[in-house]
Amino acid sequence: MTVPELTVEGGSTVGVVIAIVLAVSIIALSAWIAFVAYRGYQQSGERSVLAIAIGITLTATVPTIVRIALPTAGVSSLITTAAAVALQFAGLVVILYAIYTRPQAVNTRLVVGTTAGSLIVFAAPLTAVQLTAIGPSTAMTAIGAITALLGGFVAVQAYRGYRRYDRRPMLLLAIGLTLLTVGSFIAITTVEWVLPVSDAAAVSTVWTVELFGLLAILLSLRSE
Amino acid sequence: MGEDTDMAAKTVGELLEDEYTRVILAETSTEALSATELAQRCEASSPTIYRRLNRLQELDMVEEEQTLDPDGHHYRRFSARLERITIELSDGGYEVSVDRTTEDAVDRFTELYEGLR
Repeated sequence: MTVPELTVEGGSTVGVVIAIVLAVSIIALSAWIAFVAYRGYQQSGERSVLAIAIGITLTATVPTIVRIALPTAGVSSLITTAAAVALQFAGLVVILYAIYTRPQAVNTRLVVGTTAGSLIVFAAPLTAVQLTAIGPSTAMTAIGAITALLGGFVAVQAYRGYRRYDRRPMLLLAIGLTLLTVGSFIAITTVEWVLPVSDAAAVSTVWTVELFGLLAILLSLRSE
Repeated sequence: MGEDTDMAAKTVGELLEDEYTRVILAETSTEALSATELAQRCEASSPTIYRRLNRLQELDMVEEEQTLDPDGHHYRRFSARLERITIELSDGGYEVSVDRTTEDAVDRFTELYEGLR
């Protein structure tokens, strides 16, 4: 009689341990960022700062946590990606709205518009896979590209803020946003299409990129 | 720098003739102020201040922002957008151009993010 072996789905034990450590770090960093952002808003008391706080939290922390929590709960990768992308899309729209309009930014129109836009982004890939011959991987890459483009654009605005005012936090914010939108998209697309690796290695790659993105944002919020 | 030439020289004259308007523009060019604070600095009543502020907002020379006070109430603060008025006499007429402070998305992003930190 043999002792039952511990089996881990989709990778080595070491790989899984790394993935768990990454996941725990990401959750801790995300909670920290959300807390710091909320406290920053409380200190300023301005609604437009609240919009930025919500936007950063939705863009950076929420999708990252969704990518960890939903697969753990057994949700398919298509629905997970659609949910993460839709939430990140909402965050980016809120940031863009806050920086491109006058200060009375957080209003019903913004909330309704962003929610509707996010629902469309969420439903589009699911509908496309249901009704057409488009495969889940293609659908996920396509919607991922939307937030990668939008996120890249917001990151460029942050970088221009750094260049114009020589503010290091804006540089860190630009780096963080790039890693969490463009970087995460490139990592996901690479492991999906170019370099198929085991599940544990794939999530570890994506989570590492996102962890560095979160670190950059936390540093930018905390520095000085 | 925003510029427009739609304003009449007469409007400029009327605007700057008013002492309260001049004080409001001067005070709000250094910091954003609420109508109450402006009323104190001008030693005038609130309705007097609001009438001037409305006029200045119509002409886009003052902008407002919403702020939350420590008790959680919203109040509005005003800051001057006017930087320069040029009146040019040429071809038998006056040409007025107004330069305003402009903030683009990059300015706002940096400012709001600084507010968050």
